[in-house]
Amino acid sequence: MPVAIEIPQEAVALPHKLWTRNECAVLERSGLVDLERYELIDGELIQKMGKNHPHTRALRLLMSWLEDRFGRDYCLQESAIDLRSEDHPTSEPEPDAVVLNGPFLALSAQPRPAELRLVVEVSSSTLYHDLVTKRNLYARSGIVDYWVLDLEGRRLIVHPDPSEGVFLSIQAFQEHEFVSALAVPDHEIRVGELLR
Amino acid sequence: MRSVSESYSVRGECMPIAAETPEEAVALPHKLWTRDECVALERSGLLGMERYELIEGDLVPQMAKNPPHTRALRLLILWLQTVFGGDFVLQEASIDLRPEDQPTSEPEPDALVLTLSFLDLEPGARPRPDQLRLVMEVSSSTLTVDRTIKARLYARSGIVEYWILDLEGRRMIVHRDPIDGAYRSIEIYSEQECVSTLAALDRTIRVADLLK
Repeated sequence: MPVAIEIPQEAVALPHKLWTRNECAVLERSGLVDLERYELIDGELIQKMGKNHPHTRALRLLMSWLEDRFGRDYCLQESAIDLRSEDHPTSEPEPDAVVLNGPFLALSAQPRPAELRLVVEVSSSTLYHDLVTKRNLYARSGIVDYWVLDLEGRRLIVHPDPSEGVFLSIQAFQEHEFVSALAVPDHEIRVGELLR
Repeated sequence: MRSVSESYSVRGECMPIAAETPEEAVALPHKLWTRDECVALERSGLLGMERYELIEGDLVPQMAKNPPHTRALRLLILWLQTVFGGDFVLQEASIDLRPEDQPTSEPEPDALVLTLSFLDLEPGARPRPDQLRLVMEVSSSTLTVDRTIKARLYARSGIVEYWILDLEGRRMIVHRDPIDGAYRSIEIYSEQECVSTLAALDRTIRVADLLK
């Protein structure tokens, strides 16, 4: 007799078409995809989150502090960056904030990993993505300092010193704690100041 | 290399804690496609020679058919033609779905049996769910997707019978009674067992005869 069976329960991810920067340029030209609304990460066209007010506010506070510490010419908001050659074709992240090691006017193209002193994501609904997918991506490209400002958790998660493609010392600073960027260790800010 | 404590001075009462990687994987919403967009994508030339099947908005690459797949599908088509007549059987034709799934999925079952001759389908139209007596997938590497995502898709459209010929498991998985988006009856027939379709219950075939 035939046997009755159960449906498999595990979540199934469909293997699907992944994209490259070059293909995305064609998609955009043909009007098929508005790249303002998507970010290419590991071949996936990830929908950008609509920025809610807490996100906008925190990012503005962060940008002000970064501009004070590093100078306005060294900071960019939501700029696309280059990656190591293996990841470059399939990912084009746009971090919420980056600090450059030279003035942006001197850039002739998108900033390369070696030109970045700090990369920051302001995170609420994208926390898993920022702490896993993007963390791995930035570590592989040797981004020297990566911050995730976790709005819901009210904390700042810092990833300094990638070693062989992995951030080894990842630490979370709570609201009342003080943190500084690797590039300017003597300039501290209380995490709560970014979450006002 | 600087240690973290040197790099990050801490004035709060508590030391910073090592942050753990979140355990729960959350898939971020990625770009999903529609049938209309896929027409434009094909025209753009971006998809190249590769063939895709649109399933729940994802462009799923179609597996290259290996010889066991081709052979099993040919045996199956021949049997279906004997039972239903050549005009009622289509191979790898794309089908329509219920309105809610129609824009974002365009499956191409390996084989299907129509309630009417394919010549009586409106020119240019795909078979609708109510014009299908049976859809079939011949499955090896795609088994999990065929048993989950595709089974739900076909059940939601009320396709009355869905078979999966599982090449590696050497068995037939028969889905019937679509109710509320799921098949209420799912049965496995092993090699030595005989199976027949709801539409022709007296015409049986031994599963092994499709796996020769």
